[in-house]
Amino acid sequence: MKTIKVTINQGKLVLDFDGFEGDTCSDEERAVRLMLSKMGVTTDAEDERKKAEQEPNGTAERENLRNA
Amino acid sequence: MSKIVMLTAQLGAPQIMNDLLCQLKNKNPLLAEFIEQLEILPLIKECAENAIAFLARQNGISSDTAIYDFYGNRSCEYHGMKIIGALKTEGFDKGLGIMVDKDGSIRYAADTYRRDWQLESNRLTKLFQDAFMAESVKAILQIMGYEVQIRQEVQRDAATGQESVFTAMEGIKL
Repeated sequence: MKTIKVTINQGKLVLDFDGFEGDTCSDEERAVRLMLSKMGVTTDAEDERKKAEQEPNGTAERENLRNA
Repeated sequence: MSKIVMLTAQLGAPQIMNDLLCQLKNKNPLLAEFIEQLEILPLIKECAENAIAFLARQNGISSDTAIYDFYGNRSCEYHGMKIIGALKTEGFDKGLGIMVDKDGSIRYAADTYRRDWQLESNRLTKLFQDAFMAESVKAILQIMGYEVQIRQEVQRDAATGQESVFTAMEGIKL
C-alpha cells in the first residue's frame, strides 16, 4: 500500500511518501509537482529527507541492530 | 525508499516545469506523456469552485455567483471572463469575484468603493489561494489513483492575527 500524507500551511507544502519501492516516490513527487505547475501552483524544493527506516530491503533495520 | 519533501508553493500562471518533465520522461515516459496531454482548464475551474464552496462554509464568509458595484448593479462577468463565484464578508459586501482566464490563470475583480477594500480583499485572496492549492493537490492525487481523505480549517495566527487555511490530507493507493 502506498500513501502520501500532505500538509499545506502558510505557503508550505509537505509531502510525506510511504510504502514506495526503490525510487518510485521521486517519480510520484515529480508527477504531483508537474501537474501542480500546469494548474498554476509553482513549487520550489526546500528540503528533502529520505526515510531510510522505511526501506523495503531492511538496510536501516540492519544498521540499527548493528549499532544496538 | 520513502521520503519527505518540503516545498514552497505559490499561485501564478499555469506553466510546465521543463526540468521536472525531462526527469520524468527519462524515468516514466508514459506518465510524463499523460501529464503533458492532461486537459487542465476544467480542473482549474472545478478546484476554484470547490475552494469557494469551502470558504463559504466558514464563519463570516458567504458566496455569490456575481459581484455588485456601489449602485447595486450585478455583474456575472468581468472583461469577458465569467465570474466562477464571489466571496463576501460584512466588510466586503459587494463581493470579491473569482475568474479563470483562457490560459487558466486565476483573476479577481471587485468594486473598490470602500476605503479599506484592499485589506479585506487581500485577506480573502490569500484564503482563496490556500484553499485552491489544497483542492489542486487533492484533485491531482485522485487523478493519480489515490483515495483521498482531507481535513481543513481556517486558522488565525495569534501573533500577527493573519488567517490561513490549514490542510492535512492522506492519499492511499492499494
